[in-house]
Amino acid sequence: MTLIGTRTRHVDWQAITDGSAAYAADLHLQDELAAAVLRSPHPHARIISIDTSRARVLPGVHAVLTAADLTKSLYLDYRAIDRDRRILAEDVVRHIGEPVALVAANDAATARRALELIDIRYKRLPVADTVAKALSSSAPAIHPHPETRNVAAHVRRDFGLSPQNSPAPAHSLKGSFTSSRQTHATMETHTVKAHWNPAENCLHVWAPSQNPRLIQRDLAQLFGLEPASVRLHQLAIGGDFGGRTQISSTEALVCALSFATARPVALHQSRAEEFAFTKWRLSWDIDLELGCDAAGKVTTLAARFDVDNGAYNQAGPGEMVYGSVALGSSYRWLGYQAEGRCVYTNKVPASSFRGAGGYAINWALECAIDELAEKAGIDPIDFRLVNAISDEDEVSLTGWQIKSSGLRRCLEAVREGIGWDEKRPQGGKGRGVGVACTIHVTALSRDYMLRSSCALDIDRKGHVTIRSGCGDSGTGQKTLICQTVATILNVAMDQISIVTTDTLATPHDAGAGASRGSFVAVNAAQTLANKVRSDLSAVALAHFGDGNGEVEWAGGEIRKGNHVIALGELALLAGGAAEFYSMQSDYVGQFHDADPSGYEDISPTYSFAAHAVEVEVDERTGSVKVLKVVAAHDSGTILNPLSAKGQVEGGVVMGLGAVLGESLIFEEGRVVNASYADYVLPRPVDSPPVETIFVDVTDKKGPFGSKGLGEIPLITIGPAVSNAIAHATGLRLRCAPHTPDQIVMAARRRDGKPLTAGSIAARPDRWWVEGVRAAYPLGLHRGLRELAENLGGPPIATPIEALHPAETLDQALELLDRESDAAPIAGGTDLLALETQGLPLPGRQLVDVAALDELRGIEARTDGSLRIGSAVTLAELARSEPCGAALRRTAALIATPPIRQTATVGGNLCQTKRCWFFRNGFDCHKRGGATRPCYAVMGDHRFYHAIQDAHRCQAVTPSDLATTLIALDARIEIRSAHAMRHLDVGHLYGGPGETRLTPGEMICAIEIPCEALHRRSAYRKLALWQGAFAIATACVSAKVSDDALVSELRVVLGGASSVPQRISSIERRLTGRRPDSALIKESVGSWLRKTHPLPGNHWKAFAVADMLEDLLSRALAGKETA
Amino acid sequence: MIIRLTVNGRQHEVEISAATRLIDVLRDQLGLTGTKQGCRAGECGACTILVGGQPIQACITLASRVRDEVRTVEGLDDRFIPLRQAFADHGGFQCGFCTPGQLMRAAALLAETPLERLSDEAWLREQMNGNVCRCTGYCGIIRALMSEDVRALARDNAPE
Ligand code: FES
Ligand code: FES
Repeated sequence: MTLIGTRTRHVDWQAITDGSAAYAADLHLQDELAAAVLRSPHPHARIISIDTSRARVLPGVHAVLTAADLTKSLYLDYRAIDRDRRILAEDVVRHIGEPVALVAANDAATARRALELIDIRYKRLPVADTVAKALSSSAPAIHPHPETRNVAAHVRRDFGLSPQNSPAPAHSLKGSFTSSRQTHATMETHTVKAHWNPAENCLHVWAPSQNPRLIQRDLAQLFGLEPASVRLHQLAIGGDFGGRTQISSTEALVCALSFATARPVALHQSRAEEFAFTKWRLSWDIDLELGCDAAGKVTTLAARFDVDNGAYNQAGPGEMVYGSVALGSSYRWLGYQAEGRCVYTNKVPASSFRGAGGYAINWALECAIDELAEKAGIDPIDFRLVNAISDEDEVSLTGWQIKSSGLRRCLEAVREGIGWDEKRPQGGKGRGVGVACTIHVTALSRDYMLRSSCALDIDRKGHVTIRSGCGDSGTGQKTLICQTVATILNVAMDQISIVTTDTLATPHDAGAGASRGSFVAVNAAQTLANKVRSDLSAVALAHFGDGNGEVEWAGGEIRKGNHVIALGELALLAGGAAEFYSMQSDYVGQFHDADPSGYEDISPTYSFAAHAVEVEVDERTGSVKVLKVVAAHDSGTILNPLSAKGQVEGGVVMGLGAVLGESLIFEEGRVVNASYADYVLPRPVDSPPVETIFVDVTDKKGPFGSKGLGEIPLITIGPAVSNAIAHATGLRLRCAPHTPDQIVMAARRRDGKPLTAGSIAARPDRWWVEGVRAAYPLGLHRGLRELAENLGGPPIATPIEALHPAETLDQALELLDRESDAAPIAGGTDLLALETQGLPLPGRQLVDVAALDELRGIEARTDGSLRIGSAVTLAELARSEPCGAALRRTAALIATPPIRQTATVGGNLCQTKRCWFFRNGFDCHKRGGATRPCYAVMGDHRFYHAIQDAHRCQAVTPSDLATTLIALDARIEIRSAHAMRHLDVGHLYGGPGETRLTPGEMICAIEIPCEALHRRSAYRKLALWQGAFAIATACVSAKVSDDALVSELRVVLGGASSVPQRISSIERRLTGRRPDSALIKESVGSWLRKTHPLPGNHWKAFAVADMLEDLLSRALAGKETA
Repeated sequence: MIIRLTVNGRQHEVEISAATRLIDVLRDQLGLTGTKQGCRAGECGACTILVGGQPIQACITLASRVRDEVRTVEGLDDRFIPLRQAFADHGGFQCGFCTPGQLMRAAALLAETPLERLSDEAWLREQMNGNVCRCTGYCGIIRALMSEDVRALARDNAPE
């Protein structure tokens, strides 16, 4: 029975779903030491001196290493000619986070303490943290070696007709595109363990990777060992996506420490380190010029691109070279010319990511093609049907030779699936459909990519153990290999098990990458199983004494006529003295060397895809909702529809992330959004259902007719979304991700509306703030930053010291009064996050108030008012009828269900500011004190900073509840051991996320008066993903008579200024009136003129104004009641 | 201090400090490594477990505050085999790292959700919004939760 093409469960499903699958952090090695890494705080500096003597003598420390203690070898990485990376920085650090020294100690806390004892002096060097700066004439040279300053690699392509020799196109397009800076964000952070065992002469390594042999190879050469002396062990792998397919910067660190101590050493990266210090996707700036003739046939393509490489070469040069060819390989160009540079910048190195060099170029080209089709007046699907490379045996201008293609069928399938013919004529009203297509390689035809061996053992019971060197990071090769062997030997899946990764137990495998994982590993398994079958068939025939002919394999038995032998018995027979049967077989695909011109048939075979999406765009808030995705793929024979579908769905959603939200933000070379809260990756609510279609194609080359699939979904979806946005709005966005700010501003530009919101002229009282802001780029920022550096880093936060239970409120207040540095803890969700982020806690002596009866419960009082205990959870609030719809909705939109379950009303009001500089390690004004700059003034302040009334710190108060509670005239009951007082919520804050509570005081309850509960109240929130911290919130609460007269009105904005505020100018203008839309517009407009945004958040002021206008109209008319 | 914890039906005494988080007790002291850490800040859901039947993020829970019984993925009993199988049969995981958290979140949902709710995809997505998965695009997880077998499981364990 064939299992090829059948839905087959992941072979590890039991272990994965019962928690027994062992990932690197789940192993505990005996006598394991903890590693810690001292990283460069500077983007570019010379190391003047390092003194580790104090660290070395700290009790519990086993080793302290610097570059002087280590091999001078360079990492191999991708291409021999590009090597420039060492294990530890030697004399110059080139990016923030570059490893400088290492410690191994008994435990992680001791290791971290030792880091603090290392004295290191740097001299700062000029920084080139962007491609533009790195290419400028005054740029510092980041490396001494490149011929052209900071250009790590250069490429030129020239295929077919030159523009001068080609006929002038009837339609042409020129555009500049910038791709996003996506990062892998695997759920498992980099975690590595190593143990150098001198007695065995073996370096044991536990390092998750989809390409174990490459890690082995690089470690062996770095440390001067034979590859056989480096053993990678089998592990569950918590995702890869190209992030761990080559060695990172963690594996060798741990190995070096183990060499120094001869003990097992473990390194576990935190999530913040994972975001900030591991490789990210190379980002490309691409200029394209392309055209087509009057009949709509493409003519020539010219391209220039710069790739942001970061500070060292990993995949950058190689990916650029590949991309330079791929760009000219998908359409029937008459000529294609390109020139590109891979540019060093003072940032953590960028490297490979699912889709590799195909990702950015395909996004840019497919956007451009769509626009060109529009110019030519041709339907974008028809345009692609005519122009895309899609015929069997067709050869692209660049030499790619198509073995099989279902692209046309993919395009037709998505046309039908998305309802194209019906929806396409209706674009432009905020809804639209878009399409894109892709050709992608299945491995590259290179020696190292097309070698894979596979082995198996059959024991006396007929159980088959396969040994494959692959590393299955979730993509499903293990299952595919088992399916292959089960099919050819016709045995049941439960008779088969598989060992992977372990470099001692398994033969060589080329690993996964460039969509080759299933191609090479399944090819190897197929070769092996066929060999086993013919070998054992011969043994069986001899055993049957029945000459030649065919035997039948079925159900673990081999038979011919009346003769039958069980597989286990046959294995014994064939295995002889070994008592089991073993066989290994090698697969080597056809490969060749690269041609310097780039002309070659680069891959054994090519996959195709077309995606269509439908989006809804709100130009006023900038939000894009993806309603539907139809993804049609030609990946040849689908070996396992279950895992194949998963590859498409996962790739699509990851691609949606890259085009709509995900991008690392750097400020002076440091990552700003280094957390899941701040890095906008897709969550369940924002992800659409994906309809997957596999067109029926059997490839001539692939095993069982299959082709690669892992990367192409991620490559295809992005441009389809950009094109759908264009269809919905007419906006051609050329910079990814398409965040709300881009959309709002592009729409305003299109409509000729003003691009600056408020004017400082309207606010003389703010002139001094504006003056300070203006001084930042003139040297104030730099001066403060340098001053701060000389003063030393921010104060080191210390952890929770004690937790005091309290039985009663009085007791709790007593404790808060008595203990110094005391603070209440209820849900603790923000408090523990602060501790993880290394920020100061509100107190280290915690008094547990979560269960106090006096703080629980929502009480409707006889006077019609409401009393909400401060320890009521957000989930309870979201369910509470008496609180009214606006407050319920406010609570329901905060964070995620598990957080709402724990977090409390009091905690929400008191949470610390969410400014992403403050939260992610910047030594800023609020973290380190008045001598520090506010990084938001010059840095990325598009979403989370003030548009009015900020002072030196541009952060805002993050409590969404505060907005609504102010609108509801709520008062806070505050108690201490000695007194009780009441405060309007509006007076609670003295600064961004800073309350006016004094030591010993605690919020006990919130009271909402009866009148407020009877008003019409409605709430809105702008956020980057549902559950994210607010960009802004608004609440309107009004008393409106039956004949539309507004007699009471509260209009409150959160997230707009340092503290949530009533907008009295709007309230005044509308109260006592029957506001029509003109009056509402006028009143909001007058507020807008008095905002004074930072340069990058004018969009936010516009979006808030539009949100307010809409909210007011609907709320006052009684159309919106939450 | 020494505290008592009941985990998956077994009593334990563990020595901890005030700052010790539940996830560290489970993983490091009790060897229950099925519970994963993805962020240690309450932002990803990988560490979701049940405390007194409620889904809780173990990474931001102080161990000394835990009074009720703790259940981790290792303690999902045989009743939940259909849930685990549904994840396997509908593409509910790839690398599997987020899976224990997803399963525990789902187990809590099944215990408290009226059946008709389980066919409301938008509602399900909202409920699962605290659990990040980088591999599946969530499609397979939602399919698993909406599958017949999981509905049958929910029916059998319906809240009285
Ligand atoms: S590890 Fe607990 S929520 Fe991420
Ligand atoms: S299965 Fe990999 S993160 Fe969810």
